[in-house]
Amino acid sequence: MKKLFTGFTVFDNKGVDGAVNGVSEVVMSGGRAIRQAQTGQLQLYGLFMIIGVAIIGICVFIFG
Amino acid sequence: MEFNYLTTILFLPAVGAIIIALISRKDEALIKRVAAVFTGIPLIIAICLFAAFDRSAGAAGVMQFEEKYQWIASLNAHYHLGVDGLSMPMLLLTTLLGFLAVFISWKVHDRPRQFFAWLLLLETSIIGVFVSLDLLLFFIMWEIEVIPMYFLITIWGSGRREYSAIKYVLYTLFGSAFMLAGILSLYFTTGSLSIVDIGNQGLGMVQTMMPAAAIFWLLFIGFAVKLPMFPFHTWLPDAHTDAPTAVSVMLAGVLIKMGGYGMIRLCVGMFPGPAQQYAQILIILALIGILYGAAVTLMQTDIKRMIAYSSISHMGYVLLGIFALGQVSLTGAALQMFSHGIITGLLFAMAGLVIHNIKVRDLRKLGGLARQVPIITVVFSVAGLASLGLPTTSGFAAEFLIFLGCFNSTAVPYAQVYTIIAIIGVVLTAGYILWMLQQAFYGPVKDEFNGVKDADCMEKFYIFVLVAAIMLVGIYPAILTDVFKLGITPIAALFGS
Repeated sequence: MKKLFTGFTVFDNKGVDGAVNGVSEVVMSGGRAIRQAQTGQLQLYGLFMIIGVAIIGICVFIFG
Repeated sequence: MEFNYLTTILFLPAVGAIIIALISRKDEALIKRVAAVFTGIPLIIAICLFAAFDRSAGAAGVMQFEEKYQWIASLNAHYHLGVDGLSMPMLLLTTLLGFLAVFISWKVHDRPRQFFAWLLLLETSIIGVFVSLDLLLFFIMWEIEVIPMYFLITIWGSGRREYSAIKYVLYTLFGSAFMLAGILSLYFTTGSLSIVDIGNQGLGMVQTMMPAAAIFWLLFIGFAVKLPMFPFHTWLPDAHTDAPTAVSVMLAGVLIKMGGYGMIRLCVGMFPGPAQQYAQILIILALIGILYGAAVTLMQTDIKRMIAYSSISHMGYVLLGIFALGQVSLTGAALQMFSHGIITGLLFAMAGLVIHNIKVRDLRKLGGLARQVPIITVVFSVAGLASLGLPTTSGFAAEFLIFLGCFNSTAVPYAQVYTIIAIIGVVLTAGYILWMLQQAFYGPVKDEFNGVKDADCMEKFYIFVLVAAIMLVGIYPAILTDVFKLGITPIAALFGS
């Protein structure tokens, strides 16, 4: 019985709480990855804007 | 013009917090006295309102001591306060624990001005949740509570306090996001923010904007995080363990009850159809919470963490009582919320005393304290026995009503089987409570604990009040059930009970 209850405790710490901490880790990793795009180069930001406008334009053209 | 009792109760602690913020930081005694006065007066008024509460059959489902003023006309939002049989005892519990929390914190010497200001603001926000009859006001009060909790745990906590505080905030905001979506959906489908109007007119008022079941689940998730229900519970052991003692008392005593209250008032009271449709799933989750929570509690060695995990198990009983959807089971669930508030409040207060006076929180390192700290031992034992549901204590009355109501429930199939499974939880509870008492207080006396201090006069005061409340409710539960049933009857009637 003690092994079963120990198993529950490990599951709670690693499984349930691990999943919660895993979600926060994914968010933080995502943030770190996206941060790479923040180079400080205005030309690059301009390029992103043009790409974004183009994507919106294509969507409007196809679905609008 | 009538005196606005509920507004006075609601905002006196907040006014006290402002006054405390203006007192010189060196005048610690004055800060604490002001905190005691501004939590004591709301308690006295709450006791008077409880005594004056209309208990006649005609008062079932009727809001009393109501105050209603236009707030935001364009949203049809009102500053609307009131209490019925369900919220009146919760108001009493909040003001009682809020008052005692000041005395429990009397030995806080680190930045007392900020500590008591946050503690009083916390009380205002929790009271606000229980007395608000407007969904917007309810939500604002629900959210305000997070801010004092964050600072109280981060600044005055112990262990991994920053981690625990942020985890608590993120979890709560996660639940709140769903709840806000639910409240907005409810508003856009009914055109009303009034809890009374939506509750009275039921789903007849709900148009076709969103399925009732979707709104039910959005609201439910917000409350399930706060209760907490398995698997949304992992913030609780960390927050309880690392919070300062008075905050653990408030957290376990009243804050998590906001979840159960919201479930009864909004989920079950407004959405009887979805509540009945999903009752079985939720009862199974309640059973997992009861048994799994108790099993994990058995393996804990930290005295506060053990009490924290036991709350998950005990809140499972609340969830079981709520979704058994009967008059008796719902009354039992409401009584369990009150009973758990005073019992676990006392357990945390005693655990705080052990940690403060003995400087040890690991149960394996404690032992034989019964001779050295007899008062703490006796009171801890009483609280422990109440927690495991010993007859003549409030824990017994509450759990008995839940089991009785669940067993006889006609709203949910296989209710008898679920009740029998839930009763196994009582055996596990007895196991961890008796183990905890044995580890900490009995066995061979340890010389290293010679000379440790027992409870002093002020500590005796608050533990006496809590023990008296536990015994009073245990011996004469009708003092609360007569009031609770006035709030529960119209909700149970939705299910033919």
